Amino acid sequence: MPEPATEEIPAVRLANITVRLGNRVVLEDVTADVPAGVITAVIGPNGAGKTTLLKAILGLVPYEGRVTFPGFKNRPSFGYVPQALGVDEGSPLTVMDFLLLKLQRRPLWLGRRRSARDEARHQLGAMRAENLADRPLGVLSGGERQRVLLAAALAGRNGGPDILLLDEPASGIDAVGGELFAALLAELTEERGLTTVLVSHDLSVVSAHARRVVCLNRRLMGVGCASETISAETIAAMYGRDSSLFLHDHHPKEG
Amino acid sequence: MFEPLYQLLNHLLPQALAGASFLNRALVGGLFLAAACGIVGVGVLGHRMSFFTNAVSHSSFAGVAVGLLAGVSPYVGLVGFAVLVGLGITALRRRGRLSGDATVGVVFSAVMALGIALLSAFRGLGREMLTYIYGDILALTEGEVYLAFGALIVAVAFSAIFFNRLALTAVSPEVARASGVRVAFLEYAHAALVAGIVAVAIRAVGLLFVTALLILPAATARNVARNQGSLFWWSAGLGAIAAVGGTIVSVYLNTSTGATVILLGTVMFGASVPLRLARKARNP
Repeated sequence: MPEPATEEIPAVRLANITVRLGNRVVLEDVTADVPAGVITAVIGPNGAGKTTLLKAILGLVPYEGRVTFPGFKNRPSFGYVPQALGVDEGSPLTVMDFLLLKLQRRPLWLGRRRSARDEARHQLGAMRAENLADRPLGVLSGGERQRVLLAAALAGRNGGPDILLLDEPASGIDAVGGELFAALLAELTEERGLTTVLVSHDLSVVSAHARRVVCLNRRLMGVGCASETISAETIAAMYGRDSSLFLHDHHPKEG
Repeated sequence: MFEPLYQLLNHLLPQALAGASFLNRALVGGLFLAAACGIVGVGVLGHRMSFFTNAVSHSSFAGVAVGLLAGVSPYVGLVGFAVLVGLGITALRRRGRLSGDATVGVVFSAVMALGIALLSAFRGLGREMLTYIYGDILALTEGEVYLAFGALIVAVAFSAIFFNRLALTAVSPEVARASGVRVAFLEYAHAALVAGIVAVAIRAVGLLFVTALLILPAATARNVARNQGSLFWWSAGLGAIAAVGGTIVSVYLNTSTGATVILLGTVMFGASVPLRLARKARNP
């Protein structure tokens, strides 16, 4: 089991990462550190290479440069919350099945292991999603789906993950739901000592919860703490000269 | 080895045909192949590979021709070529220059054209090819029944090892990779398995129907299964029922056996649709 990283030593170090798909350069010479034990947000316009950066950390796309994990003795374990799922509403795959696919080696057609089932129920319970266990994964609403995906990302045969990667987890849910989800994520990151990397479009959520921000538009546009990095200049560099910064209040009105 | 199974299935045949060894082989070989196809079909549907199986089955034109021209058995050429085509499609698709279905479409056209060109250049090959277009389950030899049994064992063994990882990769390759699954290896291994099973099953039902033998049981099973584990059993069982039932019905009605098997599979799929609609109403 890898030792947890400390905040001083980065959990992930990205050195000169370049990713090409065919002749197209998707990411170019990105260098950044991801600190341990906090939320790091990756922001940028569509096509900026945000998802590709997560895939490079996971080793899912070929890249030039180096991805290292200085805060861990061995390769850390990962949890991943994807933006989209390849499951339709006709699939009989239930929420419980989905978690068990990660939690047990025995094929599901030979039955469910009690210990794996208990761990799945525990993780679903922590996300207030225990009542969804027997529902098909393909019919869940956006908010339900995100809670289930987070529960699955946190579940593991050898304990939970060291590094949690989330690809636009709040897409498909409303602003209030997005804020609640981000608050839950912040709580979990602190409680479990996770290193969390979050791709997000919502700068208000990023400002409120991320300790560090990586701004991308194929190249690195800025990196640092949220309050300093999310500036009018960085926004203009990423989204174009006509863009401006407007942070809105997600909190539901009282009364 | 399969004598007890022959005896058991004999009871389902009309008196006049009971004991006919070609029918015994058809029933038992068909049962093995259809169960194997049903098992593999779960992964094929999950990974949206219906078009892939079509391309692989149509590569048999070229595979049989290459096998005959190379002086080896056409069956060896067929299976070998199918596996190569399956691996080739997977490699091209993973490079990502073209969309998945466009990649399959290009390879489909190329191998089909190669097969037709070879058949037209060497006219003697045409007669041999008919066996593979329509298949003939009633002509299975004892050796081919053993081959069908081998296909079933391979399908079950693959599922015992990779079922969970394959299903997780279908839901999200990123989640699977993050969980330690070697996604690239799994995709190549799965493509080789599907191509191999398709090639072996072509002998029984023909290249025109083999995709249906993979898709129909799995699609029907999705409508009736309540979870991912039972999907496996339903798909294998429904495939076996379609093969045995279709063969027996074809004997009574004197119709093409391969076509009757597929028609019975289609009827079962149609009958399962109301179940899916009822489940959808419960989980809106």
